[in-house]
Amino acid sequence: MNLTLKVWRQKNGQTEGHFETYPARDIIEDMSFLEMLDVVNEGLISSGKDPIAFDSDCREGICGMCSLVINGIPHGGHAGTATCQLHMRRFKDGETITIEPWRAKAFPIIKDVATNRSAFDRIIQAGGFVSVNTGGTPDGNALPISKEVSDRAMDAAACIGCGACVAACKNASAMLFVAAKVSHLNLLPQGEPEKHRRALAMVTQMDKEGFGSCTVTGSCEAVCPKEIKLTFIAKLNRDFGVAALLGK
Amino acid sequence: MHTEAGPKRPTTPVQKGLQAIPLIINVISANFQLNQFSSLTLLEFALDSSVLLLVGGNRGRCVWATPMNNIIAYLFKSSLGKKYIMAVTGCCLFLFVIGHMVGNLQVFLGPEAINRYGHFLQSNPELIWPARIGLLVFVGLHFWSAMQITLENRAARPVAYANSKPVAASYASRTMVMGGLIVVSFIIYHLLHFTFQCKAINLTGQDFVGFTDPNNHHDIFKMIVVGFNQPLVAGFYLLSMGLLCLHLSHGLSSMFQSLGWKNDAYRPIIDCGAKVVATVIFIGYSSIPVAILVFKFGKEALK
Repeated sequence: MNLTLKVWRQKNGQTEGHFETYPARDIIEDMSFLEMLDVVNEGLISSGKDPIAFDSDCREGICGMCSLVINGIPHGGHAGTATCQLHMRRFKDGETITIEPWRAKAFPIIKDVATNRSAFDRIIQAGGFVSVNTGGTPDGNALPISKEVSDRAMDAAACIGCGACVAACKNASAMLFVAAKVSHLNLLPQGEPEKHRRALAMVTQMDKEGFGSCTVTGSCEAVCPKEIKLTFIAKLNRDFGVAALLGK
Repeated sequence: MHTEAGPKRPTTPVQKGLQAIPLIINVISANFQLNQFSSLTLLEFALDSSVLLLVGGNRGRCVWATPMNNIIAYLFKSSLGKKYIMAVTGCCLFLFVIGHMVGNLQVFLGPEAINRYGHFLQSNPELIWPARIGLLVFVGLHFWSAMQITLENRAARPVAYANSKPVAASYASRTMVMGGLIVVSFIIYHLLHFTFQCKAINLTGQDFVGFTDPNNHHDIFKMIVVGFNQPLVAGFYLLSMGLLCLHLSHGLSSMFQSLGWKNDAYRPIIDCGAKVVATVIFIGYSSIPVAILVFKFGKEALK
């Protein structure tokens, strides 16, 4: 299949960016979106041009490195699919595809469509430690956790921190990410002792990074490649409120 | 033995005050360093100072001088705190909207019922003034938090997408600010129209102040009928009620989300319930101008 790509090109964070149009010829339908970009980049390199800089790592939907707003929707708009798992059969022959970076003040552009998502790392760091007993290997059933709680914690822990929630939100809010990270530890007995401090510190860091606030549009939930539920944000709102009320 | 004992407990209020001075200076400088010295900081400062004067800072370390560790700061400065303010004030305003609707619907019981109700409210200033002041405070806080959040949200995305389509976001959720602002402009008009009874803006040429019923009470029934017989006024009313309905269809369910009272079991009920309640409110309020303008309800009052 043959496609036309409209790609955001920007030399670095200090310069202005613009769109450039490239043809993508002889693309195989079974390629992933990133493999299609690899083919385009090989063409660019062989003709002496600067290849498109984009993030990727595991290419199997579990690392959270790939990004790209494809035709206006982060990760291309297929349920539970990251850009690396998006296949070219989802597109029509002859289609024009617009590729943009995540756009948020907290995610400055490094080059082209690659953004700096260290703000997420700093939010995680602000969360602090989890109390763990050192010593011998703990007994497997020493900490009783119900199936429902462990499943819910795992649903939250599925967040890969890609930042699609921020990219999709009209307010560039990171609430879904922070909610997933706070809930994941706050739900489990291992993370319970620090739950108040964690909620307060991570939200404070989130505000400091310049993310917007949640207006419950639900866009984040719709684009999340790990399908994190919007109700985790309600849980974060509750955890933060309780912690602030208790004066922790 | 515990060695880090705090300073000796002061004995007189003067000593307490003197001891608090360096701590108050600490509060001011901390706020200046953060470049966050605003009216809110003054509020916090007043609170901090009063607490310092009361306890005299005898805890050994100044807990209050560090920003963002008290409930007031969390409420007014954090993004989540502003959403709590939005939700709680929104809830109070919603309860008013319900109460006001029930009160207004008495118009269908005839002139006597609504005029008696109006006279009851007017003759109890102890009830009506606290309610009015409360409503003004709620509207003010709701508006303030909305503006703060909107400005922060705009700043969070300085470069817009060239190609962006709303994903899953309802029309109501994307028009909360604009819809809210139009409703505010309606409220101002509505107050001038029926509360202050400003003759210049009712577009009928009649003075509502002079309407009295046989019991010598203010004739609210006639005022409503005459007022809504003006199609422009009724049209603006219907438009505003439509926007209020849209605002509430998203706001009512978001209120639960922002206060953390939502989980996957309650989510569908709350989301659907918000739309149903918003529609009921729209029908309730709109029935009055529609009945008057289209079905000529109360036309004998026009004579």
